[in-house]
Amino acid sequence: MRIFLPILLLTLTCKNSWAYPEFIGYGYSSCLTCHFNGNGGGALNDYGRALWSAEIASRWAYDNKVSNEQIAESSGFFGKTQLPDWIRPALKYRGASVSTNAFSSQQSNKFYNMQLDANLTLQNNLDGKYLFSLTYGHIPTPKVRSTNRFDFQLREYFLRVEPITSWWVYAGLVEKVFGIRNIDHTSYQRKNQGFSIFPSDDEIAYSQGLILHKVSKTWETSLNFFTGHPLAEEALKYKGGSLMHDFEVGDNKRMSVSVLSGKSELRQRQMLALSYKQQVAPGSAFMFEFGGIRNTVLASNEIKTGSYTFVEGFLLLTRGYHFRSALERHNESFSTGSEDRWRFVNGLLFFPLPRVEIRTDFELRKTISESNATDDVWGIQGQIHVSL
Amino acid sequence: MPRMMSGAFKGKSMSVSSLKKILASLVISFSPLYSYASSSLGIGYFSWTEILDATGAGTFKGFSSFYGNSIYYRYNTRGSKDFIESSILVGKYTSVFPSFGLYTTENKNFMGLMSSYRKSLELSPQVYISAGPLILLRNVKYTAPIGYEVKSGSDLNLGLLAEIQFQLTPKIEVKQSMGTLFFKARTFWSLSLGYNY
Repeated sequence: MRIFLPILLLTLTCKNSWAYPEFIGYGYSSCLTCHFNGNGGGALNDYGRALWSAEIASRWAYDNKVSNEQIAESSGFFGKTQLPDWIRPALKYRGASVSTNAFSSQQSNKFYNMQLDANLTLQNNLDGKYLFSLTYGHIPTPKVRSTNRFDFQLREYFLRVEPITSWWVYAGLVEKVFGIRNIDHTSYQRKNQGFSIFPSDDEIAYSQGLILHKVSKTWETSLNFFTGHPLAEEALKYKGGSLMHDFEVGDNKRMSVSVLSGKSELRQRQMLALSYKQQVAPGSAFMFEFGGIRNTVLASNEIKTGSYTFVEGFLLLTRGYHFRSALERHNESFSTGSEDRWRFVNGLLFFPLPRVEIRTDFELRKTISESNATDDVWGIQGQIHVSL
Repeated sequence: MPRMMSGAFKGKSMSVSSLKKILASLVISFSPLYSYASSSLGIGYFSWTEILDATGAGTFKGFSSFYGNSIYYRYNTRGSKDFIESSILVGKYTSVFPSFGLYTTENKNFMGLMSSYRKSLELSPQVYISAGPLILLRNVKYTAPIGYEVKSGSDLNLGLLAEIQFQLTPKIEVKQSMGTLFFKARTFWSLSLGYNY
């Protein structure tokens, strides 16, 4: 019976995830604690692996005699077998099943191999003062500009240096810095801001660039200059900069302000966001982000200024098992008649075993406008994530 | 003089306090469930969709989208873990018949009232989930083309409502609600921010 639930959920249906800002509920407010990339996402460092195994994931597979420390010791790539400090490999797979127009006659189901990544991180020592990380992997074929060149690619690579204590410099292909790195890449808080993982839009999350990151106990700041994705067409290379300042406003309460400005040959985008996240109970968190987006189509000089809202409640049910409820809104333009697109997501986020994540989401989409009324649209999404 | 004023206020304060004690004892005497109670007042954003019907020479189906802002008051009976909540809804409704040439869109103001009685579960002192029946009243009047009658949902609708509520501080709460409406309507949802007192 113990194994029944995870197996059942494996057959369910989804999304991609990179980092878990919700873990402020566990008292972890900085991404640097768990990730080689201090702004979140990508491969986990030793502490992140141990944390996932010994604090976040369920213990159901372990005997009571096995301590959390022993579980943490087994969290390495080869389990208990220790690798030299200078090398850290990782493998990651995500499979997702998506049902669109669920509960209707137009329901369609599709399974995606979302991610199959191999990562290698080399560092001078466990402190990682000098570190190089490279991720090669697969992402799904984009829907619009269908081209196989994106199927397997260098997903992320960066050189990280800490020239002065608590000052970090990243150079390479990394995710742009802006706002909360929500675990759902289809979120209206990421997709409309140019942080898609699919190269089907004009702009995607990853870009070559340089990041200066200062981390202090009560605040951190990231300054990012980016020059576009190396595989993008020249006209779509999005160049610019962003700044994010995150600061403590109370115990396990963080607020941040982000600005981004960038331009390709086709479009200019400027964004501003105010974000907030806090622990509401051990393992549970609340997050909020409100932002403005100004898009300019350069050829026609058409300007649209809109906004978005993101609210998420993250609830620890019991160790390894969480409930997530998110409400998102996006409005492309403040002008009268512009529609508000809403998305209400309720789902479960499980870590039934160390290295394993299972997610199911029930999604309600609705468009509200002064000139149109449509039926509710439901979606069911599920994901299995294995990270070795 | 200040001392007198102070005394006067002190006396008044005591009398109010005494009155509160008497009322509290009455409440406890007549309803042991209400051993402890507090209230919440807040504002929210809501939406739901109703199925729109036009009947006359032919039958046409469409949708009415209701959305707007609400003000809610909730009585929290912590002893019995029951929530009694009422909201005033003020917003707009947009109705569309996608395949009805004579009648396409309306965008009008409406007002409504919603009440719910919910059993709650305190998952932690900061997190509550609750569920229970709801009753929704709203007044809308469609302008129907000659020879047709147009209506959506029901003026009085019943349903079930589930909520998750986070206490950001002991005084400030955020809650997300989702519910079903039984009569020719779809999912109700809302997001609210409230103050506990």
